[in-house]
Order: sequence, then C-alpha cells, then structure tokens
Amino acid sequence: MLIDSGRIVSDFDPHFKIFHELMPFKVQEILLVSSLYDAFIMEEDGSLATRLINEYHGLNLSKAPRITRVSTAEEALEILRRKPFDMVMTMPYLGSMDGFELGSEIKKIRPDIPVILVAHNIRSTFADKLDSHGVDKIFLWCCEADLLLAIIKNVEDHRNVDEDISRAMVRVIIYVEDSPVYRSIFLPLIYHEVVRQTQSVLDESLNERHRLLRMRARPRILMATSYEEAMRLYERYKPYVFGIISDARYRKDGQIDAHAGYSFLQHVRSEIPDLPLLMVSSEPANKEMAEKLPAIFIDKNSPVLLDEMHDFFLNYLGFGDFVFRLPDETAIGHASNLYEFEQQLRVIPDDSLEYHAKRNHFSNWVMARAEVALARRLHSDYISNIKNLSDMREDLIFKVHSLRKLRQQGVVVKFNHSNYDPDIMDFVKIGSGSMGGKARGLAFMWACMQGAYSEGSVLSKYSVTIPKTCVITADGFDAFVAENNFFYQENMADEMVADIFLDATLPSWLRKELAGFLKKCTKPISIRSSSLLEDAQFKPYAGLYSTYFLANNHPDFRERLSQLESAVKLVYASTWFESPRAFSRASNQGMDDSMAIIIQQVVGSEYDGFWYPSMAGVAQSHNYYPVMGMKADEGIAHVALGIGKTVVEGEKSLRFSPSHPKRLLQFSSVEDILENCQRYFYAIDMFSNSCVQRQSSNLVKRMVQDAEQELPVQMLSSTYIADEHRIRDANLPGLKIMTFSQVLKYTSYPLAEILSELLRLGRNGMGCEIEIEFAVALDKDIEKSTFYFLQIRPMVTGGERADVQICDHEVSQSFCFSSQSLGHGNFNSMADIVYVSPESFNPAATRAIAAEIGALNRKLVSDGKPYLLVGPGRWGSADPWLGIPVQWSDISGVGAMIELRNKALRVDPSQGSHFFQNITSLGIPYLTVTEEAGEVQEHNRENDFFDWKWLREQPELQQYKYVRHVRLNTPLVMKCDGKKSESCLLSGEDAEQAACTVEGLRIYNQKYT
Amino acid sequence: MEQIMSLVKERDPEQREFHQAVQEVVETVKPVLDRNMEYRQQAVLKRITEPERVIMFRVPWMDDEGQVHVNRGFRVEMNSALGPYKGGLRFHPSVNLGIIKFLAFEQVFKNSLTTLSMGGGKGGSDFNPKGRSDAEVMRFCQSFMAELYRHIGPNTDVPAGDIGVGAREIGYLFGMYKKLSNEFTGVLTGKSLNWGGSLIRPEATGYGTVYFAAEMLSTRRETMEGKVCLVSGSGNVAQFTTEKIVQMGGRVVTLSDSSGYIYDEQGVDQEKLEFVKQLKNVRRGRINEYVQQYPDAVYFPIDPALEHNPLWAHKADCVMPCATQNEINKKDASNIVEAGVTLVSEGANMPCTPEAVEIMLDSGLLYAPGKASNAGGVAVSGLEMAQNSMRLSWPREEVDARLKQIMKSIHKTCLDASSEYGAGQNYLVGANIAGFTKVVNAMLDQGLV
Repeated sequence: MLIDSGRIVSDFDPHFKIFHELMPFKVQEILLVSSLYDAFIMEEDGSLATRLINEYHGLNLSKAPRITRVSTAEEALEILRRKPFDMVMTMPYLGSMDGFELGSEIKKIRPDIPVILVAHNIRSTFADKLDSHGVDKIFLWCCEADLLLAIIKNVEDHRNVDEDISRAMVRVIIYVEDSPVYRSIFLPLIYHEVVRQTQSVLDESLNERHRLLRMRARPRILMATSYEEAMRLYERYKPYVFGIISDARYRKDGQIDAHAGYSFLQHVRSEIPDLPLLMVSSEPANKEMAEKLPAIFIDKNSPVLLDEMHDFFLNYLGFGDFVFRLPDETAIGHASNLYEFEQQLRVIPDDSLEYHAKRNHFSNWVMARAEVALARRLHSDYISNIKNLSDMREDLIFKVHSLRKLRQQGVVVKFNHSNYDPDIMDFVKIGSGSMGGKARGLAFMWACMQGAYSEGSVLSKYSVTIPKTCVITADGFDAFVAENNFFYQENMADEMVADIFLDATLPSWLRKELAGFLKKCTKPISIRSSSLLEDAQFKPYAGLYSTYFLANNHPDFRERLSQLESAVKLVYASTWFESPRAFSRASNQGMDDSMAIIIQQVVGSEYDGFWYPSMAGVAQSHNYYPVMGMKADEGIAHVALGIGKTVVEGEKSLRFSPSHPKRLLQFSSVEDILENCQRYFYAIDMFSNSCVQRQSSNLVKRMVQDAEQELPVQMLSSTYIADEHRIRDANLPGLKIMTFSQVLKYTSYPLAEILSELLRLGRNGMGCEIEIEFAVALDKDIEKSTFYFLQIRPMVTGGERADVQICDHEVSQSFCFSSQSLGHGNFNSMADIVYVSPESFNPAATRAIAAEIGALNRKLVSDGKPYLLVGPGRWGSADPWLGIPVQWSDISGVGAMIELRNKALRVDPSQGSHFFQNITSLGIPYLTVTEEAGEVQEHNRENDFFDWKWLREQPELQQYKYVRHVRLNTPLVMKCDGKKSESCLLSGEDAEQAACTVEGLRIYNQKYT
Repeated sequence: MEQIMSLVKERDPEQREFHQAVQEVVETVKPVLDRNMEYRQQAVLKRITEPERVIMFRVPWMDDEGQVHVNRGFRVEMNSALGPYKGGLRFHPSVNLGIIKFLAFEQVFKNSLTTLSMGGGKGGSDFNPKGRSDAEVMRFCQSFMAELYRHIGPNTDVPAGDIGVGAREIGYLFGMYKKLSNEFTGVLTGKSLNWGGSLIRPEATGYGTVYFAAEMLSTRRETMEGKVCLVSGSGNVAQFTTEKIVQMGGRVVTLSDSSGYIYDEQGVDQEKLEFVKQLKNVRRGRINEYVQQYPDAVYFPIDPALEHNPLWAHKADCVMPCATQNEINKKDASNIVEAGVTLVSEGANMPCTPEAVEIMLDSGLLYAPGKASNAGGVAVSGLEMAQNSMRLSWPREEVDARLKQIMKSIHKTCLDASSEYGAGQNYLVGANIAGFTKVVNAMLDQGLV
C-alpha cells in the first residue's frame, strides 16, 4: 500500500493544514538544453544536478528536481513531446536555432511551460530581444547553484501565487529589474534573505517540522522587467503586496525610461503610504528621488550591498525585533517573538499603541512571521474602527494570545523555563529522549483530536482537550540511574528500591527544569509513569507502575519542589519493582524498561478542601459483553465520581455503552441501583500537603454522602426516597445515589457522544482496539465544562493477553462449543468442573441444587480453585422454575459459567444478566450452549454442543444428589473469542496437541500463561 | 384429592408451577376437607383452582431506536370472594400464564390471611425491563395499561407492584389508567407518597414480624420486654425488626450479612442501629465494621467448613431470621432448640428448611411461618386501598397502629384455626387452614357464581 506521508502529516496537524496546501506546484523535472560546449563549461565545477541537490539539502527542502540534458533544439523538442517537464532552461546558442527560436517552438508545443534563457556572458543576454514571447526570463549564469535555485523558486512563485493567496493570503514582494546581470545577482540574494529572515523569526516554540511547513507561507517574489509589467503585478496583487524592490531605469511605454522606477514607486506610495519601498540603482543620483517618495535607496554597486539588503528586510519588512516607539520615535521596548510582543502590548503607553496601530506596524511585523491570519486581524482596517484605546489593547492582546494558544494545540514543545507559558503550552517535554508509551499515545491522540475539531463534531462544540502536561523524557531516568551508579540486584524488595531511589539526587539539569516548570504550575499534579515498554502496542504493562498525586499547594516552594522530586523518584523506583519485572520476564521482554514521566495538572476543582474531577473513567472501543441490543464495536465505558483510580482499580463505577447511555443494565431496578452504585470516590486532600504518602498514591477515599453539598455530587446524583422505595433524578433530601442521570439520561452534557467520537478516532488512529482514560470538569454553566483526555493504549484487560482465534480443528477437538458467549481471552486455570447432572435434574428442585452448589463453592473457594459451572437455565434466576436460583455468594469462586438451553429448561438465555456486575468486572466468561439439536455427534461450528460422555468419564471428586464435581488431571483450556462471541473448551491434553492454521497463521495451543 | 390433581394436570399439562402450588394447598388443607363435607360437595377445590377470569393480551410498543416489540400481557383474576382482586404485576422475561396463575393462586390465601377485604389475582408480562430506558419502560407501561384499564378498578381489581414493577412503573401505569378512564381512583397500590401512596411501607415487614411475635408471646403472658433476640440479616427487614424490638424493650444481640455476623451482648440499641443503617444503606459496608465501632461486640466470619450457622447457637429467647431463604437448617434448628429459644418469627421468606421447621415444631417452641408473620407488606397495601377509598392520608403513627392491629388479627385467625383443628399453637397449620377456610366460606356464602 502506498502511503501519502504528506496526507498523514496534514491529518495530524490541522492547524498547519493550510501550510501543507501551499505551494502546490513544484518544479520536479527540468529540461536543460545546452550545447556540448556549454555543458562542458557548466560541468567543469562538478555536476550541476549534484550541486542543486546539495543546495536543496542545505536548505532542508524536500525532493530536489531532476535535470534532463539534451544538446540540440531538435532533441529538446522531441523529448518535450514525449515527456512532461516543469521548466526548460536553454543556452543561447544551440546550433540549428538560437534559444529564442527554440523558446517559440517550445511554446507551440507547451504554451504554459516556462522557458528560461541562461547566458554565460552579458553579450549573450540579447537585451534587444527582451520582449520575445519565446523566452520568459533571461539570466546571466556562472553556474551558481543558488541562482538556479532562485530561478526554480521564482518559477514556482509565479505559478503558485494566485492559489496561495486565495488559500492563505500569502504576501507578495514585487521585484522590478530589467537587467539580466543585476537580476542574476539580486534574485538569489532576495530569496536568500526572505528564507533566512522568515526562518529566524518563526516562533521558537514550534518544532522543526512545523517550522519547515510554515516556511511555505514566506512572501512570494514576483519579478517584472518593465513598468507595465510591474503595474500589472501591483494592481493584481495590491492587497497582498508586502514590499517593493525596484530598479530606477527600465522600459516604460516601450522605451527605456530613467524615471520609470520613480514613477512606479510614486504611484504605489500614493495609494499605500506605509508600504516598504526599496529603490536599487547603480545611479547614486536617484537616492534623492527615492527619499522624496519616501523609499529606501540602495546603490547596486555598494560594497556593503548584502548588509544593506539585510537591513531593509530587518528594519522595514518587519523581520527584526518589533521596536515599540512613542510618537516622537523614542524606543520604549523590544519584542523578538510573539510571547514578548504580547507582554509588551500589555504595558506600552496608549500613545505608542495608537502610533503603531495606525501605521499598520503590528500587522506587518506579524506578517513577516508567516502568521497570515493574525496579520490580517491586526491590520489597521480591522482595528481602526475600535475607538477606545483600552478596547483596542484588549483586542490586540486577545488576538495574539489566541493565536499563540492555537499554535500550541496538538504540538509537543520542548520545555524552556525562560519562555514557558503554561497558559498556552499544554504539552511540553523536558529532555530529548523518548517520551514513553503513555505520553506518545497522549501526544498522538491530541494531534488526532485537532483534526476532529474542525469537522463539526461534538469535539468542536464542547471543550475537549488534554490537561497541562509535562513529560520528562527517558534520558532523565537514564541520567538519574547513571549519575547515582544504580545497579539492579535480584531480589531487592520494592520498599528497599524505593528507599534507595528516594535517597538519591536527580540530575541537576532535570531539577532546574522541574523547578522552572513548578514555578508556573500551582494546581494539584499527578506524576505517573510513561515507560518505554508500557502501553506499547500489544504490551499490556498498564497499571504496573506507580502514580502519585500532589496537592502542590505548600506555601514553601522548596517543599513543593521536594515533593515533586520525591514523586518522580518513586515513579522511577517502580521500574525496578517486582511486578513489572516479573511481567517483563513472563512476556519475554528481554530489555530493561526505561522510564519517562508524565506530570499532569489534575483535572478538577477544589470542593471543601478536596480536589477532584466531577467524573473520570475508562472507555474501551470493544465491548466483550454486548447484551441488550448493544454491539461489540460500539465500545463500553466506565465512569465514576472523582479521580479515576475508582474505575482503574475496579471499584464500583457505572458501566454503559456510549451508543446506548440510557441502557444501564446494572441500574435496571431500584435494588440494582442501590446495590451497584458508587459509594466512595478518590480525591486529593488539599490540607494534607506536608509530605508524599507512598500508599494510595497520596489520595484520600471519601464517601459520596460526605460530599453531597459539593457541586459534582449535586450535579450527578439522584436521591433515594426510602418511603417510596424509588430513586428520583433530582437533588432532594435523602440518600444520594450516583446515577449520573443528568449526563447519561438527560444528556445535559454529551459525555457518551464525546466518548464515542474519541473511541472512533483512537481506533482509526492506532489501528487496533483501544482503551482511553478521561476526566471531566463539570461547570455550573454546562457549556463551560471541559472534557480531558488522559491517555490511550491498546485495549488489554483481564486475561486477554493475546488475540484469540478459534480454528475448526480446535472446535472438532473441543468438549464444548458455544456460539453465544460473552467474555474474551484464553483461560487455563480451571481443572474443576461443577455441573448439574442432566440425569438427576428436576426443575422443582432448583433450590436444593442451589444449596448443593453453595456448599461446593465454599469448599473450592477455601481451596483457591476456580471452577467451571455448568447447568440448565438461567443462573441466578429469581424464578426457581427457570434456572438454579443461586446467589452470587453461592458461586463466588466461579471461573466460567455455562447456561444450557435444552429440553429440560427451554428458556431464553439470560446471558448472565443476574450477575452482570460480577462477571463483567471480574472478566468471567459466560457461555450459553443451546442443545436443542440433542446430542451432537459431529463437533463443528454448525451446532453448539457439550460432550456429556466425555464429562462423565472424568475423575469424580464428589457426587451430590443433583450436582457432580469432577477434577481434571490438567487444567482445561477455554478460548473465548469476544469478537465473534464464540468459545470452545478443550481438555488440557487435547489443547496441547491441537495446532491449526487460521487465516494463513499457524496457531498453536500452547499453555497460556 | 388425587382426582383434583389429575384434573388440574390434565387441563393445563404445561403449568408445572401451578400443579405444585395446588398440590401443596391440597395437602395442607386435607384435614379441613375431611372435616367439612360441604366443601367436597360444593367442589370448592375445583372452583378455587380455576381462575374467575383470565385476561391475556398483546402489548405492542416501540423502543428508542424505533423498533417495534410485541410482548404478552396477563391478568389472572383468581378469586374475589373476599374483596376486589388484589395482587402484583410482574414484568420479567420468565412470565407466562402458568407462572401468573400459580402466583395468583398463592396470593388468594396470602390476602385472605391479612383479614382485610382483598381477593386474589396476579398479572404481568414477559417484558424485560433490564437495561431499558425510562422512555421505553413508560411506553411499555402505557401500552400495557391501554388494555388492562378496562378490566380493573378500585372496586374490581387493584394491582400492585412485584418483580420489575416499582414506583416508577406504578406511576406510568396509573397515569395511563387515569387518562383512559378519566378518573383518579385508588386503582393501583405502591404509589408515590404525594399522590396516594402510604407511609410505613419500608417498615411494614419488619415491624409486622415483631408485632406477630409479641402476640405469640402474649399467649404465654409474656412481652418483648427484656427478651434476648437473635436477628439475622442487616437489610431492610432486619433493621426494622431490630428497631421495633428495641422500641418494645427487647435486646437484639446479633446481626449478620453474607460475610459473617456480629454478637453484641449489650444489645443493639437505637444509636447502634443508626450506625448499622448508615453502614448498610449508605456506605454498603460489611457488618464486621460494627465491631470496629463498638469493640465490646464480637465478629464471627463465615466458616465455609461448617455445615451450620453458629449465629443460631447463641442463647436467646426469640429468633427472627430476616436474611434469606433456607438460612436455618436442621442443625441450626437443633441449636436453636438447645439454646432455649421460645419463639421463632420469620421475617424473610422461607428462611427455615422443612426439616428445621419440623424440629422446631416438635420441640414445642412457638414458630410463626413467614406467610403469617411477614404479611405486614401485603397488609400495608390493603391500608393504602383503604386510605384511597376515603381520600385520606393517614399519618405514620396511624398506619403503624393499624398494622399492629392487622398483625394481631392475623395472629388470632391463625391461632383460632389451629385450635379449631386440634393443632394447638401450630401457627403453620393455622395459617394454612385459616387462609383457605376464609376464602372458601365466603365463596359458599356467595353461592355458585
């Protein structure tokens, strides 16, 4: 598959999308027509193509054009008929015809193709043939690659200018020069200056790729050779003209006119009083005329020509610092970037503000930075109607600030304490190493989200962003370990590792940067891992490393910094903790994990001394328990009040499908709601800021009832009315129940819609099923609420350590197959099977059966043996005639459940709905096996089956009146394919032997660990 | 007897649940039938096992996605000899005619035992409210009532809630009934308080269990004052059972949940009870937290190795099992007897296994079956009807006083029936016979209709 890298890049960089679209025409194929002699001269100093390529690389430009050389006009015409070229360069003497004749012939074949004549000496420039239609431009060439580059760029500029103006209002510099000699000197010089200046003034907060992109908005250079041509260009591009550089003497009305330049510039000045004008002339006498205009004057023969040209760009075209002046020209301040520009705008006196605004200095200066939209918004036409200077100041500041913020969205910027502005820089990184899986995912998703903002989706209607984030890249960890001479030793206890790390010192550069960051970050922060292995695709390291939360409000800055450093060291220490190492060993991950760290501002607000978000949770793009009309690919979400630890650690939270937020299976009845609703939540205690507690991530666990006067609980809870045994979706006196009704049922805030959109974006972006963490800060004014995206990772939960595929061969070897199963993963820890004997089953005795199962369960739980439970009808049915009426406590140790539909009990499958909360939170597979076809002889996917004969032959451990308990010699292997909702069970022995091919891949049923 | 069973099975061979219910009644009322030839002659069993009316109807409704569903609605009006049909509506996928008929049959005797003027019926649908939105539930309820409304009325048939039908569903059903019939009457019970519901609903079962126990004690000229009580469970019924025992001067020393039980020799007083309410209703915590708060108490976690529950081995005067079914087995019953307990009043539904009941009855202790002792819930439903008829809302104290009076009547009815049939103070026999004879006598009084 071909990948259009430009398209991918532009998809990720919507703010920069406009720049991707600029300069659509690129000269890629050049036909060079030169006699052998000319060719010899040109190649004397090395290959022209090589020099051009070097020039391109030097300027960091993409693909250099390819040059095809032919020696004769005939060859040229012949090849032009066959192959597409973007430009023709011809020498004057070609044997059978000269360059001009060739040009005319070429135009007959390809009227649009630019034909450039290059001559080695001034005599060959044929000044009298300038009006020839066959040749577009003539240059004097001594094989300078930078002239060739300038010619190419100029051809591109002329071709692209209309489209680029319409797309981005790019600016135009008109350069009028009739002399091929000076043109050949000045054009490369002007390009060089434009590129150099534009690059140097681009906001330093941009990353390198974006700087290159932004270069595409540099001013276009349009060249004219006569008064008429100059006027034509001026009239056509008047609103976009940025500056004019003009010779003094050139053709006007067909005659060389010594004052043509003056006339042209005078006309322009009369229409645009503040436009920068430059007259270049070899006649010093013209200086006086230029000053009359007024225009800047440069003598073509000046020994400091380069410096003077540079000064013009710097001082008059706005490429230098912005010098704030009073009306009497006294300088009162400088700004070298937009940040300083904004700061100065806040403090300069009114008269200075007015002085610059009226003269359009702000717009010009911003335009030079390729900020076309802002330049337009700062143009005097737009701001001059603001009469009140204080309003104007506010307006200017707002516009500049908004742009700076916009430019940072979706961009990870290298942290620099001298210009760090937390207000606009949402994502910065300290260090230059890897950001780790978590931070990479966050940066990726943030970039993806920028594209979605503009599609009119819910993401653009509501504030959806990431919290202020600072990543310490992995070189921080590496330096920390190296500087402190740490060596991992086997069998070091976690506590010991933590103690050693805490006693060590962070690298001084890191401490300095952290201090710089912390100075400007005064809200609570979280410090979490972003290891290089963690969250990498298909490497489910999630949750193995530590996370700490800091109130970050100690009055002593040194204490705040010390706590941050301690938290960073503790997260570093968790890299060497036993569980990630064990996991690394188990998954054959040979390399040692290195660690980046994400410091994030904790989402939320302070309520009565506690800081927490209104809601937080996890959403997955695939739902392995799709019931009640839900579809697996609609995903599933869990949401809870407060910090997301509640959800991540599997405490009580609300599960819902983002596509069906009103269908809350665990909230089906008042009893269900009372049983399943969230009672506790996590928050940061803002009064407990004296030290970092290692336990509980420095969080406190609060009761929902204790926060009933706080805004999030009031906005998200319902009230239980005991006298009526009902729950009302209102804030009334009584027990507060976290139902999230306002959000899910009444959609006061479109949480479900936002999650659906983000899951779609994430799945498309990562190309696999994904899991995201989020938090929401609700505001009284719901429109001001903000959704924060916290992280993304490939979806891995519970036992799903690998993709599950079930092949036909395995089905044929199975003792059970279900085409209607819930759950996903490979399971191989069950050797015990507890089942209701079909022979002794009596529908009137289901209560007694439940009692037998309860007794067996107690025994198996105390032995620590998970088991497979098999029986007819609905497990946990309230109606004893429809299934075995077990309570959860009767089956609490179950590892997997099978409900059978057969002649004994032909009821609709319950799909585990009685124990939905338990089976989903514990990831227990629930299989429905329909045996209506009777005993199936052939094991295939055609029918569900359960091989009773096989089961009867297994070693019996206990036989009750109705229930039988067998224990297999080796654990059975259960494979649940959550995507296809099918499962099969194999005996341990059969599984080891079975191996087959699925979609071309060899699948081995090795023991899963 | 066998004839009636064959007839029932022959008529509706698929209705296994109903067969079993009839079988149980027939067995328990055998002495009554043996003694009253009139009952046989008037074929009361045949008549009582056949519903007065069965209504089965289509319930079409549309889900939130615009998809049409068709469920089946039922109302079995079983017997109106004692008053308007009264019985719950059940919305559950398991519902079918057999189940509704079986439930309606049992309801006749339950209502009869309350001594209130209530006949028996039951209804429902195979609609599954699990995971349905409010709007879907409302549309279903409205469609259900669009047919049912012509068959019910405050003096005809007064449905209530049951599984899947709570205050929300009752509200939607009532609203539709009101619109179609153009009258605001007490046609449903279980309504919200501010438009016709009754107070004391949450307390009724627990309070009633204690009132019944107090009546049992009064037959031995004793009161609850100073009685040591073993209460199991810590949910709604257990909490209000404890509350009433404390109010009547008794001492509750145990409470439990699925993890274990606490033993507090000092007794659970009102303050401690408030802690338990907070613990179980608000925090949903484990009962072992009780001993952290009150260190004098002892916590006993469940021992899976034990075949019995040591809670029932503590010395006490009264036992109120309020946790779950089958929580007292043979061994527990023996322990209860050995501990010198004089009274068992069931707060939960069928908490004692049949073997346990046998042991307790044999020992001579006073045993109140749940169908009598926990009838408080049904009784308050009757009181809601009464308040609606009078267009009055009684204060809490009045409903409580009337509940007490009803439990007193139930006790007397059971005791009288038991005595009449020579079973002494066997409340199980008394309850079975009393429930049956009240209905049958009324049927005979009203002629062959």
